[in-house]
Amino acid sequence: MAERVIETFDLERRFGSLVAVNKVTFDVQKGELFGLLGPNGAGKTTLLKLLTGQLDPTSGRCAVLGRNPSEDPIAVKRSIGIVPEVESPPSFLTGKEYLQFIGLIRDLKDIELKADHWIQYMDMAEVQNTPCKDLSKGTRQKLMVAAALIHEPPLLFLDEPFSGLDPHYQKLIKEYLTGYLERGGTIFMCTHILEIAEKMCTKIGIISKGEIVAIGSPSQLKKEGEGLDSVFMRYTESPGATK
Amino acid sequence: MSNLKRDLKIIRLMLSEERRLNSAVIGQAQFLMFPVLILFMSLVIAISSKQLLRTMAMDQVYVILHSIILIYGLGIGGFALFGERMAERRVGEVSMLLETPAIQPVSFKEVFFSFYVKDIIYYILYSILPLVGGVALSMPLTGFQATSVLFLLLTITTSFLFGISMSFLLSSMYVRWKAVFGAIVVALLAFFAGSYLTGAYEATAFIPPMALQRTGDPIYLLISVVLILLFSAVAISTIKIKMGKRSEKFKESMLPTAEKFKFARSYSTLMAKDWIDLVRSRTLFPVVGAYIGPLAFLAVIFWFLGDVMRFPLHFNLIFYAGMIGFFGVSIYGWLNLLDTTAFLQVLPVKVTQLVRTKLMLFTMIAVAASTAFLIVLSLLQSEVSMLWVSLLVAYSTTFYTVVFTALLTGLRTNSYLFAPKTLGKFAAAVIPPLIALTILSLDYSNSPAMSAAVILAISGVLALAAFLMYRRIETRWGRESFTF
Repeated sequence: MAERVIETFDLERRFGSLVAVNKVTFDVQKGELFGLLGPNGAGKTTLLKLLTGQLDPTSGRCAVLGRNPSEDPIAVKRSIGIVPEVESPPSFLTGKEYLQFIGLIRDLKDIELKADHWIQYMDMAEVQNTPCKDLSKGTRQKLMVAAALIHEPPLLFLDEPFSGLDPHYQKLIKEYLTGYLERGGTIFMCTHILEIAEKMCTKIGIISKGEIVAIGSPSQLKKEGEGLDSVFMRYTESPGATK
Repeated sequence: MSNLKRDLKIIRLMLSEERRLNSAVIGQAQFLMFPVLILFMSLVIAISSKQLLRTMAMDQVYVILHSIILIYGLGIGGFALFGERMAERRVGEVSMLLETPAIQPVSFKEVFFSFYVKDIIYYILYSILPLVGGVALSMPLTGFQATSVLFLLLTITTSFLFGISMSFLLSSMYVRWKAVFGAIVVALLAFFAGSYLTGAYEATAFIPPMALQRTGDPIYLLISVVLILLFSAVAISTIKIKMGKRSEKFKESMLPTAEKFKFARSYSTLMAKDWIDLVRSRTLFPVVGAYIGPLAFLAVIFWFLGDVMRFPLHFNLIFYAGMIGFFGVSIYGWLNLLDTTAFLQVLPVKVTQLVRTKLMLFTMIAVAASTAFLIVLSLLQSEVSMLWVSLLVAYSTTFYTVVFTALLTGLRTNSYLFAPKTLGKFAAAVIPPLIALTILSLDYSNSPAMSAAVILAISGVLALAAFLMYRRIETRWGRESFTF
């Protein structure tokens, strides 16, 4: 039986009267790339934050790598890598220093070597001496991805990881993630890019108004001749329909 | 739309923005409670003014009140320093109207003018009016005349505007022409020296709004208004906004700096990061300035009034040592404004680790700056014999005040401290020991041994309280998020 790395049961998060995540139950197994799709404001980022210990649930429970993120967020964050929705590296450290900072925080060995490796891999020579506040949006995003991967965690949480990246770097990161999955890694990814989700994800969950309305492999979700975009439209209300 | 109409519209929108921002951070009720709290405190002080006037002349009360309001204005007028950084950093994680010129066809000068006027209106409505309002409400009990209260409103508002405009001007000069700024400082020093040597100047020449209150001569109102308008106009027209990104490059220093801070053990990485932020953002000087500056300014005013004007007002070294603890809050507040902390949200770091890191960094800066300040002042005031007591008082009050601030406000000092409930707790914990130390400092020359014993006992209690509160930080902020 495959190992479950993420488990949730009736997970709920409210913000006042707004139910951002509503009684969500699902699991992700080791080696899977789970793609969470949904319209803007559906609850994707809130769910990711609940799973990574950035937010506490109002009710329900979840486990990530066997730990409860709400009870021990630091232990969960130590064992995973997260690319947040908004890229916001520290203003005054250079890109390279930021990777070194991550290395120190995570008690990594060979910090210099690892930082240099990722700078070279992501083709970010400009981050050697330039403070993060002066880097382009795309470079900052590459840096955030590198910062989430530098300690080679067994589980990755990616919130729109391709945001702001040109096709070259999207391809580079897709290749890395494919290799990462082959090496036994697991990925939980929120994305709006249906093409990437269709090609890469082994399992897809569609969330709408805080509820998981569909879950399964891309082939299970699609009817004959149907693309993932049609599946998405079928399960989620279009903006026009809500008016 | 005419420029004036547009500016008025922008000012109105900025006022709404300020109100919503503060309400979002501290809550609507807390936000509205702040002026009520000031009004209430002012009312209580006004009612008890008869007792106060038994030990102090009305003239002394005016001098102290206007000095405090002037420093208040000075403290919030460093817009130009803010302006220099505004193109580089966002206000925390919130986008504000002040950033509009970056993407809309409106000049930074115009938006800054609106921002300046907005802040003046906001602070007058939020603090100056309630302050005088409390005095006005006391009229049936105290017998203060309506004309006197209105005159007080005029002079206090003028003192505030004088402070805010002077600070704005100086910060504009500092950012644009450091040499001019240096020349102004030298000119001011020459002015003081000239005053001291010749006795030719009057205090009234130095702070016209204070002179207006003390003399009632309308010429000082005219001088005040002219100077406020002049300072503001020069500051607005010379303010320098650095648009776009600077092509600054830095030598790699994360690992060596972390090595230097190894003594801080598990906090060394965060401490190294904050230190690099302080140095690269050029904030170290303003941070120390915000700590020592107001006290140095107060010392100069008191020296001027006491030694030059022969006004019966002298505060010894122990008084300044007690006050320095109070001003330590500004360093802690600055350290929390250095950079966004949002990126730490996805890392195995707790808010309490960062709070403790900032307290350690604060300790390094505060101990160095307060020690240097008190040594210099002890030499200038010929009070070297009081230095050891003063240093102990400074260290204990500083740690007590700042650890309590950290316990109350975590990483959001400037937002949370002004929530009435928090401010009430802060005042209740900080003001009594401050008053006790002030009274004991005034009595020190009469019975040095006895006063020193009581002062040291109070300092010991404050140090112990600081230690206990430091341990409670984990309980209070352990589950807090780095983001709003």
